[in-house]
Amino acid sequence: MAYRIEFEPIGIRLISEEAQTVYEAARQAGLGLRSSCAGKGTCGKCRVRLRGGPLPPPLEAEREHIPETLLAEGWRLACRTIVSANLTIYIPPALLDDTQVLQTEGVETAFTPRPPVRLLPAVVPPPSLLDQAADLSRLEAALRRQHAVERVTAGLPALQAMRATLREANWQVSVALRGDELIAVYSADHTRPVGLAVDIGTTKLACYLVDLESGRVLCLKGMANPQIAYGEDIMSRLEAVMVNPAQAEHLQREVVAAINAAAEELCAAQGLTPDHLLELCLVGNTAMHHLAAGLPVRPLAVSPFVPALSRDLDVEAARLGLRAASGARVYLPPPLAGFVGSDHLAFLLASGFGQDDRVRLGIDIGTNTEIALQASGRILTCSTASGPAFEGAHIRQGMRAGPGAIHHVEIAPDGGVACDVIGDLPAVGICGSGILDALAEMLRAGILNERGRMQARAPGVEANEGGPVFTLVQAGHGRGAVTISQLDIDQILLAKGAIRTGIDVLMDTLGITPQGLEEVVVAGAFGSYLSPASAVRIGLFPAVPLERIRAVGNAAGTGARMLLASTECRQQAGRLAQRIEYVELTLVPGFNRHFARAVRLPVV
Amino acid sequence: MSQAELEAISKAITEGDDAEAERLVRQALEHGLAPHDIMHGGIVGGITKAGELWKSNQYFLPDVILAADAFRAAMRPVEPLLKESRERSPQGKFVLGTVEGDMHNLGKSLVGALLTSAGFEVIDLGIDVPRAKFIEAVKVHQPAFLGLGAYMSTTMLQMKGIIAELEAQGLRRNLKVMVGGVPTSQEFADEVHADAWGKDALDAMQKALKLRGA
Repeated sequence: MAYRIEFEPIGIRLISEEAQTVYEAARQAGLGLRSSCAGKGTCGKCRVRLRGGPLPPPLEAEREHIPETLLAEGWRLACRTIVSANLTIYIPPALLDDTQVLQTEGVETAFTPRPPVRLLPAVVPPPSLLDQAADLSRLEAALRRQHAVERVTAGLPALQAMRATLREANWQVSVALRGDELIAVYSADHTRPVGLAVDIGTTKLACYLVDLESGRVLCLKGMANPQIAYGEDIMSRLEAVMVNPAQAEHLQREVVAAINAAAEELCAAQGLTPDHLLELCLVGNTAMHHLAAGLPVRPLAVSPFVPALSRDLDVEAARLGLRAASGARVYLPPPLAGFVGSDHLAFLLASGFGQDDRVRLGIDIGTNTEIALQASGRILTCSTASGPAFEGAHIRQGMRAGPGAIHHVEIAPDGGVACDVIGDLPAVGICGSGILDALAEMLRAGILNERGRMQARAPGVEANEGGPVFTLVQAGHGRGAVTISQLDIDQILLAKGAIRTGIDVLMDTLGITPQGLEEVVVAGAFGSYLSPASAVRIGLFPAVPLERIRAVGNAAGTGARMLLASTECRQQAGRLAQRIEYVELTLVPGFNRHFARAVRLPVV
Repeated sequence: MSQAELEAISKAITEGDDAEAERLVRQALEHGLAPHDIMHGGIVGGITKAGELWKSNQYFLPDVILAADAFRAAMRPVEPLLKESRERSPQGKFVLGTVEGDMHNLGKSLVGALLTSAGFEVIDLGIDVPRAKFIEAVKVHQPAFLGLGAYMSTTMLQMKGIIAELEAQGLRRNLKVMVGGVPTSQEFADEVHADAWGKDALDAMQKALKLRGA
């Protein structure tokens, strides 16, 4: 059941379908909250006030830190309390993390919005027997007089919609122009130019309703990609199309239907309809891009994996089935390679690649992990098949980050295991960040050797039919134990090895050592939750000073938003795409050696 | 003295030291050891040990990968010197390849290494192998086995066609066909009418030996 949260006073709305803590919901909305205890509920500082909906009963940690009177007024701890219904949440501005405030409010400074479509008010003299100029001509003349617009052209859909609107609005209108092309005509009381930016992920779509003048996000919604019904990952969806070419159309329709549904909800939340969407921008990995645009995907499914184009695409929204203003267009930034899409380009744009010469490593962790390295005036990129292990898949008790998932693990010197669970509930499984911590701690405590083999005699390790098993949480509270097996460890090692291989190959190619990395930027939901210390300890990331590692959340979404609202960003992205050099890992000599080394755990 | 040399070769392979393995093999040849002895007394032992360590969960994939690389490096100086095929590979010929459109080499290399250690003469057609090339190789080499590898769910679809073509050309009868690769399964093997499915390189080797009646 979808629910809506309004964050005050910053004024961002989030529509979500999954129950989650306020901390996580805020993060999803692009807001970071300060915490002295990394969200563990011990510092009591993340106080937020809930209102306008059912108040969840206070949890123990909240009773400990917040006085009774304030609890009654709706104050809760953002890191503890779980939301799943419509609510308004007041976040004291002092609680907002500096960088996040810059990211949301500072969008105007981070990039210059140069909207592709403007909304211009126009008072058009109505026709009469003495003045029988055609609708388009009189509109053009009015715009010339009032806004120094030289000429106006119009495609058929815009013309069709314009006729009635001019008369219904009594010739006092707002005109949406894209250069000199007429996109739509509205009655004069509509003055907010808005557009839709979408990050089409393999698993999740992120849709942003954006104010085109300021570039600010008005409202956002995340939801599952319905194409999952045809296959969980890209390859299985491509396989479905290879087996039955008609599936391509179904896949295209499904994703467009989901975007249209989200557009309707997001617009409604702002008192608008999709007819008000003046422009759309879609980013996604290359397979998602091609499927959405109706481009043949077979050549992506087999070597040498080439996309149809590596330039941007500019198409009428209606052509793809997207609901928007009559003449609205969709902008699709260029894919970079068969497995590195425009979402990666958007991530790089939003993270500053190509804007400076800092030695920067960018990692977007997902089922496919794309990696980029900027150094010595060059930008290299590659794609690795990391698999879904970091999302909990293929791990026996693995799960997505949600209530009941272990997300943090510490092993004390005496061998005692302490686990933090999302929502403070009894643990039912372990999510990506928890698995990462578990591996790091087990290595540190000597329970795993550098080959990642569990040591039979280590405390907490039990022999089992399928191999050794380590207990994280004992059975109790009516729930079974949560354990991690050798096979689980192997899955993570393979995933980590794939990612690290990509990183090592790029660093090797440009001659960069870990100390030489000035910045490591990590995108993706997992990137926001993982512990950088654990990531370095198990060798997922190179041994960089931890303060140089920063999570940027859904930077692809931020990039999509920038590309939607700014033609200058589009040009920047085009130049960046030209500069980026794609490295095909399968061709790298000595790949085996890199991979073998990358799978191993660093010596403690 | 020669026993110590053979043991050193074996160790270098098990430990995945390709440079050392090749060096020791060249040295052994210079010292006059017979190629056949080097292969069966040293090289094969090294890769077999790696396989055993993998089976007992002491070795993980990267360790086996490095061992396979070292095995290949060790075989390089020796391979051209080995004489009669029957002498060196009692189990017969095994043609191996990754199907067209697929660039994955790793799994296939591991299978090749373990099959060689088990006594097969492995003819590796490489990666991205078109159907016609598989058919031609079967005609030319007349192997006891054909192994098809695919590491993506999009490329494995071809295996059915390759096997059907073998059937159509009357080549299927005396041939055992095995399939393998991450997206494949026993169910898939049955669907494409293969004789066996290799879950991983170790399993492939064991099943091949079983089919051979060994």
